[in-house]
Amino acid sequence: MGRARRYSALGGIVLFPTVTFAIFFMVVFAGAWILRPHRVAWRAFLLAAGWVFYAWWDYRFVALLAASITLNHLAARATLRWPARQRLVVTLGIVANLVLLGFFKYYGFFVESLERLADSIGFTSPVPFLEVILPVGISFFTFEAIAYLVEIRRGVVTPLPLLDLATYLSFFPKLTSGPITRASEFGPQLDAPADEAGIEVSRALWLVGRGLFKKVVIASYLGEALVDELFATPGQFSAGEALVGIYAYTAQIYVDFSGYTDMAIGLALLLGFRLPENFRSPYIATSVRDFWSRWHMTLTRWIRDFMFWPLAKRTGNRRYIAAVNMVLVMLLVGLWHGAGWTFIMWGGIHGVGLAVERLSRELRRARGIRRPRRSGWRLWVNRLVTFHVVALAWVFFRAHSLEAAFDVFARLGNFGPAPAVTWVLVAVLVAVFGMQFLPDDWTDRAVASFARLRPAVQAAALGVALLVVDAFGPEGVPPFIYFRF
Amino acid sequence: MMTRWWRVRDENARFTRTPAVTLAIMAGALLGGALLNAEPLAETASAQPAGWVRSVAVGAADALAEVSDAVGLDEPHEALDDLLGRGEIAPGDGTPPVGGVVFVPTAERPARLWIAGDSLVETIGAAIVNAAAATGVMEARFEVQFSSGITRPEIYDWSRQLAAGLATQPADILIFMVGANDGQAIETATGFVGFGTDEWVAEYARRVGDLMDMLGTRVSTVYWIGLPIAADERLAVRFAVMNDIYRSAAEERDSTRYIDVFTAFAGPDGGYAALLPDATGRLERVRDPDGVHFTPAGAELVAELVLGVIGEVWEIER
Repeated sequence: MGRARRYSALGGIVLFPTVTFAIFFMVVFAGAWILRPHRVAWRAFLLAAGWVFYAWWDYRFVALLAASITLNHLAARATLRWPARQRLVVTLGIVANLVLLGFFKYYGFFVESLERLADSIGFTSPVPFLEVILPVGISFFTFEAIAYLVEIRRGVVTPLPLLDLATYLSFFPKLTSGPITRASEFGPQLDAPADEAGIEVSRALWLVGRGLFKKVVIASYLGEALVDELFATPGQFSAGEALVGIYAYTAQIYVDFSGYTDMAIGLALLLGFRLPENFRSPYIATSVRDFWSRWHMTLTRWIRDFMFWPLAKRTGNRRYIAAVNMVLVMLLVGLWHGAGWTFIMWGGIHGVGLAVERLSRELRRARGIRRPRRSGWRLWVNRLVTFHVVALAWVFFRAHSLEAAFDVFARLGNFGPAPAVTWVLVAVLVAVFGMQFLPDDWTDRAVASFARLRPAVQAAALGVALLVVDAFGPEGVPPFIYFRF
Repeated sequence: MMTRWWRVRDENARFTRTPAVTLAIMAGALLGGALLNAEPLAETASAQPAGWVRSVAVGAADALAEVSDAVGLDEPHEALDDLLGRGEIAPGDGTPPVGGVVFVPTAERPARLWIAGDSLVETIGAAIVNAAAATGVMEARFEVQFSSGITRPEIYDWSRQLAAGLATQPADILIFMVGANDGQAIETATGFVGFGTDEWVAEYARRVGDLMDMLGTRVSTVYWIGLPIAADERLAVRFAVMNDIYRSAAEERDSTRYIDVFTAFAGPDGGYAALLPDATGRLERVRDPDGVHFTPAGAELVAELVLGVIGEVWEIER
């Protein structure tokens, strides 16, 4: 299958790796720093930039973003007005957010199911069928809004002024795919004086460059080399190709999503904001629990703080109850990614993995068995088992149906030649997985080396980096995998 | 107390610069990158829909390309393209295959299918490959070129690419489907003309006819899949206009058959339907929420339809 993607490189600015976005960002950068000393104008400018960014994708959904901001502002203000009913107000606010998210994300699934049911018994569904387009980033800004209301209730933050809340929720580097930032993290940065030391330009541009390379070159290559074809027509592939294809998707989703996050954090840094990290070498995890402390970290802490602990508080957190809660929460996380059995299966595998680990820890503790040292071969066995559990789950995440996922697995028993597994593909996979083992401070060292260069040399180096990205990347840039969530 | 993590890291002033210097670095990097990538940038600019944005983009990109060429900054990209074997269409062995005859395919001599087209083929191609493999007497491959079509050969020249592809990898049957991106102005000898005008229809029909003629000499049969009904009524009207052109052109040629999916995917009221019964009668979502593309379930229905039409002539038992 040939699959040259030709999405317009000049097109929508919601895609960071486009010329249009580069021009947009240069204008926003200059405007934001010129207006930085002016408190209101600076915020209004950042807000306008966020809305222009969002409108470029679909102007109609700016109204949705504005509605979400208004709704959450009113709920936050109501907690001040009726402090005795804060719990009720926050609950209503959360429900309203969930209704908004639910309508756009699950209405289609609900109506389809209803139509099927009605059709099977010879009736017509009473609910009107509407093609509801999923607004880009709705899951992310809704999660941030819910966290905001809960943090108000918990006394972590006080309600933000409307302009601050709007600027926070509309901040374009994180608007479409996170990182899911808390108001308690972002709000104070709006009030902080401009950093007199200036902009951490080396770190920021390093992150943007690294993210571009991960997304445009590596993720696109892995998709075209094997992943897309394997999941579209699994019947064409042998066991070796299917196995390497599963590894390739495991690598692809990491470089795609972490590449986006790198760019988002780098762009925010250029505008003077620090966003939380989202990835920390997830594929060296030695357990499923460890994986989730390294993968989409801002979602993990959201799940932990706003789903798991509140649930544990109600049900208790003892052995089996905790395990059941883990499965339940991860099933919901699966559903958050999409209304379909594949995502439920993906969440279920992680939930069961977490529950089994939890139970085995508890049982060991109950029997007084010391936790085995995680070193040497045991460490590697743990890593390999965790990696393969995660990779197995990714198959469900990628496949369009359970049947399609099982078709991919079925190929693992079809031994034969593997012409699709090339040395370049293997080398790229080794590089992606090998990078996970680099020491944590390697980025700091790379940034320090880059920072010591003169500005003109830095600019020239970045220009060459753009050449490499364009030459080795596909023609045009496909959307990020996580945009659809 | 909460950890103020955005404050604790790197306070080292050596690694920071003023906004003005930062802007200069970014502008320098973008200018350098634009000069080093001037040629692909110019191609991308010219691929924009006709209008003032395209005019501005083309003007700027052409100016950059001239400067890049003058100072030799376009050479690194060309060298990398050569190294990666990009940019040139494979010439094949020099002798274009001549269209064969219809035969009864067997496991020993399977019918070779090539499915090609725009983004609509992404799911349809996969479904046809899977369905063809299940017959045991067909071998299929498919090629998707996003955002491609017939109105803008500067984005992707299907005529040249298909000729070259068939020269290197011959096929007995070509299944082709484009048009989703063709509802736009087309360039004629007198400039761009708007969609739907007489000039537009004449030029588009000429290009479709030329493509069918070329393909007819290289494969046994061309199966040209028309465009499906779209959720957006204006788009559906445009698709119907293009379908008329494909149908008429196919009827004039023995080597080409037109396959209608417009009416096949309409609902009971003749309008757009996102849900339709599958082969077992179960209601399935067959169209993406964008109202144009097919879901995998919908693509399977298209594959059934297409292989059914092919099977009638090629005597393929399914």
